[in-house]
Amino acid sequence: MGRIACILIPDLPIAALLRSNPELRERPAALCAHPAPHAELIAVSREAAAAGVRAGMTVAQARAIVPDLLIARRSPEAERSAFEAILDAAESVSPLVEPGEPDRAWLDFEGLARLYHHSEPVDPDRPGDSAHGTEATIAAELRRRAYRVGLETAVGVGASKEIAYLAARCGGVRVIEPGREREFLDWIPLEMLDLPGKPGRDLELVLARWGIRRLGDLARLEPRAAASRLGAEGLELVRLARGERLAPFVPRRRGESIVEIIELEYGVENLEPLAFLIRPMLERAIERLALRGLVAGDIALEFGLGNRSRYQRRVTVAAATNEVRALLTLITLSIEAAPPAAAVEAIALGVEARPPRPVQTGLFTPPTPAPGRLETTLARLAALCRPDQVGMLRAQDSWRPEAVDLMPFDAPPPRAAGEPPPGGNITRLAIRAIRPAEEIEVMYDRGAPEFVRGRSIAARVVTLAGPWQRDGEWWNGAGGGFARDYYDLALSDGAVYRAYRDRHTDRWFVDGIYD
Amino acid sequence: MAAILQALAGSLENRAQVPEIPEVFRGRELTPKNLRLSSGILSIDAALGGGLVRGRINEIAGSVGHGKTSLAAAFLASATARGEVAAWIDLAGAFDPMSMRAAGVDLTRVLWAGCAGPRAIKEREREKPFLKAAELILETGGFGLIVCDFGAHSFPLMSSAALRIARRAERIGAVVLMLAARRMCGTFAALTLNLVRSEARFVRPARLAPTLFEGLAIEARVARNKLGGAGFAAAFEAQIDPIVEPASGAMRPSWAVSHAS
Repeated sequence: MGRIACILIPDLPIAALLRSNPELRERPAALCAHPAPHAELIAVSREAAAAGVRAGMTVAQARAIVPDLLIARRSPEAERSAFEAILDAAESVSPLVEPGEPDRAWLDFEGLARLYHHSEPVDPDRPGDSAHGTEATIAAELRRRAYRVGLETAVGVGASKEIAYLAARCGGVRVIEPGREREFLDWIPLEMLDLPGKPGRDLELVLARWGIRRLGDLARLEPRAAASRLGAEGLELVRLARGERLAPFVPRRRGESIVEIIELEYGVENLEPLAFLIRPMLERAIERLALRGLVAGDIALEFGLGNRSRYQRRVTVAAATNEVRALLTLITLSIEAAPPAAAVEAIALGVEARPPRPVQTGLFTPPTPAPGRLETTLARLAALCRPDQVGMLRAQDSWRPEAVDLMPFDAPPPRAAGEPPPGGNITRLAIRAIRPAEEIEVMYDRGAPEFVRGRSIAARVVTLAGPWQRDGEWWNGAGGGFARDYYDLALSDGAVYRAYRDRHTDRWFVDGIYD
Repeated sequence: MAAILQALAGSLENRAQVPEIPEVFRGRELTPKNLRLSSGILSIDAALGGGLVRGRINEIAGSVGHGKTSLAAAFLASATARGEVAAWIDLAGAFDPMSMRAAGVDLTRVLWAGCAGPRAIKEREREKPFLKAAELILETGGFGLIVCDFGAHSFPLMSSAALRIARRAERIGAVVLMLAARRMCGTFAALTLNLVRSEARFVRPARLAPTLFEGLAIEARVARNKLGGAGFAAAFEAQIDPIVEPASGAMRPSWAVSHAS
């Protein structure tokens, strides 16, 4: 018999609300489908429940009890994000996870003891919890990781999915030792059986009439007799009470992206409050990625706007990183470049997960930047100088000197000193590129350039070499090619320029200075 | 050739007389001062006492067109050939990968960060992200050479900024090389090399042959050297690469259509 753990979010709608709005944790709050006085409350927070507010009351009734009760609209999107976060926490502990929507997931705990040797307190908040060595420790770790992604959970461990779920329903961390399942099940009240096997209204009445209050009472029934009187549903219930019902554990793998969604009660029009809302979403997404040992790649933003339209934006992250500040700067720069057309009422943030890049260093090689730190630096540089200004510049395979590509800068692997640079003892002359090429006016004397005048140049031509003809890319179709006469011009200002005449337009440009 | 080598040997002997004690490692210094990055140009290395000083700020000053970029490319090629990773922070947006590759730079090991920004922004404003980028790269560690190309930027750095860069360079042992029209870091630079172009070489191989631009003859003078002596001079030539295929990084003249000027 295997070992299964169940992680459960006790009150998912409220937990999702508090996760999206951590500042509400101390306030009495309640959720309803529509914030109207006659609307019924769907869920209430612990603080509101302590004040006497119950689910099923109308908003007006609840406000009569707690005047400053915060009423929020239920957000299925936020609940889905919370559920995804729980799955991330679960996958960081066990490789086999079965999502059990809407508020729970099961994990295969078999053999995990070899991975977790540390012995930490089971649950600092509940020292009286059952603690059975390694399983309890792992379960406590699972709960801690769920807390890192903003959720308070309960974890149960048992021999089957049902037993693990019922153990989780007890709250905190609960481990049911092998062989003691019946002992645990015996005292479970029937009210706890909301899933699986919740008895129907009639069945519940019949059992109450029979005086059966707990699973232990049910387990003493003869299965055949129970089946003949209560039907298939009753038989399933008896088998559960006896610890004989074993639903199969079906693990599933999920996609490699993280999505966080929030819906706003009001429209946001300015960038600063928008960034203020995006930041905690990004932090939660990064925390989920960190749990899985991954780093953030490209970010997909989608806003629901007040004019019923959608705003989509993809933020390219040159170097994957988990640095929130750098990623947030990239996002704000991207939004600033193309602001949404109307007020933002919902935000969806998708983060592409990428594996971190490992590197093997050597004792006899020069040091190179650590990949993790380099990625962070590249992201911060991209935020500082713009993403299209950071990377590795590479000349294209083209005859046009200005044809350069900006490639992502990957951490180059360390290598020992190689061959000396080609060229031997000859020092090559470098060019300072002028981008874009500066148009100049050229005055001729007997057919040769004699004076040059442009935005930053005005000088006499002292010496020149050229022209060197360069043609190409005519195969790209009409207007796609270039035909240029290149000159090296030594001007009276003391510098040597590389200039060219465009033979198509008969215009002159300077595109570099020999330096 | 023999005479040149003899002159270089004499120059190196003179260098040995400079009262420098590389073995002495002061307690506050994080990088020993005897670690140098060679340029591969014998005359320059001899004048500098082996090359640029690691863990310190080094400056190459000179007007545009006087060989700063070519000399920096030589240091960059030397660093990348040793397997080091380098960074080029570009305030002018003038980095040309074709000529850098022709100079022997392994571009896969060079991180380029352009901080040119719009021309409308004041110089002082453009300087801030530039310096911040330099500090970020220095904080990362693992870079052997960081070139800060100021272009035509005319203001010297604030003392506080220069001090921060100097401290970080010392911590990671990287060569910080400032390229500017004038000295930028004041007392925080360990070494300053002034470059002056002595000649732009245009030659005509034969009477009716076209004029060719061969390169620049450059004179370098050590204006400041905290770890050696100042006043040493050196000369070198930076030659244009005449025939290089585009994929390998430079231009090819079209001999058939050229004519004499």
